[in-house]
Amino acid sequence: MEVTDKLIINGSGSSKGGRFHTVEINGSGTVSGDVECVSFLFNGSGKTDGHVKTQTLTISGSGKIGGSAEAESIRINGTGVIKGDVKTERLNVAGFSSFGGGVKADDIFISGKVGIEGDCETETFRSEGKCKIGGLLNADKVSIQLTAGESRVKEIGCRHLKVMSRKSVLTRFKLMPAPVLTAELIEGDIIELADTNAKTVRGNHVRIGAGCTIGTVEYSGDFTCDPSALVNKVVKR
Amino acid sequence: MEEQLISKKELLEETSISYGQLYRWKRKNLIPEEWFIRKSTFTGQETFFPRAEILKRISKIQKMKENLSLDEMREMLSPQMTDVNITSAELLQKGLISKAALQVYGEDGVTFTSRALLSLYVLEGLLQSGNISLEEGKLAAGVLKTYEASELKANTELVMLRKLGVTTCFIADAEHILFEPTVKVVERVALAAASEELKTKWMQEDHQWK
Repeated sequence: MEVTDKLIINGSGSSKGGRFHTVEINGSGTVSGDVECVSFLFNGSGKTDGHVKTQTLTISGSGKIGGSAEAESIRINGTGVIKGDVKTERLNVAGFSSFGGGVKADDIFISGKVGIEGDCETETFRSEGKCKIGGLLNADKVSIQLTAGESRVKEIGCRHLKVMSRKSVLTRFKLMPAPVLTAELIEGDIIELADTNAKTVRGNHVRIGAGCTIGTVEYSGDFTCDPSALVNKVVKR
Repeated sequence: MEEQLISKKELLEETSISYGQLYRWKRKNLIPEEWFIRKSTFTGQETFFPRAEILKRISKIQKMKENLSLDEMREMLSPQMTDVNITSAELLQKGLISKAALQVYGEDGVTFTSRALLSLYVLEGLLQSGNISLEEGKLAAGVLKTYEASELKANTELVMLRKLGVTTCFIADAEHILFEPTVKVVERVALAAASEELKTKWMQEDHQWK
């Protein structure tokens, strides 16, 4: 892009959108309209109500994007809210983020809490903490580390799914809610579960770990089940 | 309706592909979202696919994946074409397009972009069918040429009509088109399907759409 303009809002101000080289909102600025730029940076509590197209999008503090976001990499430190669809190569969340649409990425790493209303498509999905996905989580490799509270994914479709659970001292003394992953349907080639509630699990190699409650398991290769897990029905195909 | 659908479970057994592959192909848009049909059965929610289409698509993917990457396949399976430049001489040499079609199209000796090539290919098909005359071919070429700048949609059709010996032709992307009974529909060509066909032919010629 040959545009060299910089848009910097320090303190509280507002600007219209457009094409820029860099956009930086320090403090509580507002950008109205669509923005196309090379890098977009929120420091503090910035807001934009249009679509954002950029190479690197960084939200430090609390940023809010009213439209969709398209970027090569998205980094959210603190609180990020994107109301529309997200398309990126790398999505990195440390803190809390909420996406109103679907998320398409190559690599997603979440430490903290994330909410995705629509479907999530990515090659690798790693989450530590809490995640809520309203649609289908479709990924090659999914690794979910549960810490506390309920994570919820409507459907998971993948090649390899690994759910791990790490109970801290606080959850042992019931000061924090026990970690659990709730899903309606899990399908994959290799499925390793722990502390998971699911209606149906279908896979090739299925390993049900401690603390699981599963309605039906359908498997074609091998199946192992922890004695503490509750599986209602097992079907071998 | 029932026998035309296939459940995901049956599909995996029949084609011996894994969940991982199915979901990867879905991610790469090799299998359209609309083909995933959700239905509730007594065992809970299940996903079904249109039987004939999905089996055809999967065998196509399996055949192609030996020498193509997934991204290249997506290019090929999507109706949108990527850039290509080819001269009329090369086209004749490959036998993809006949001389007659080139003459009707009217731009001899120039290079063709992918969209122009699609128009040519459709025209070639029309002429080959023997249903239209050369004059009518020119009519179709004119419409196709003006349409080249617009985006190709999934249900775009070229329709050719004849009434009382007068021919006309148009391009539409409507779901239903109703004609008065005295009109004879000479040809209806789905452009997206033609594009896919053209690409398959092209790939067999050992070319890559870059």
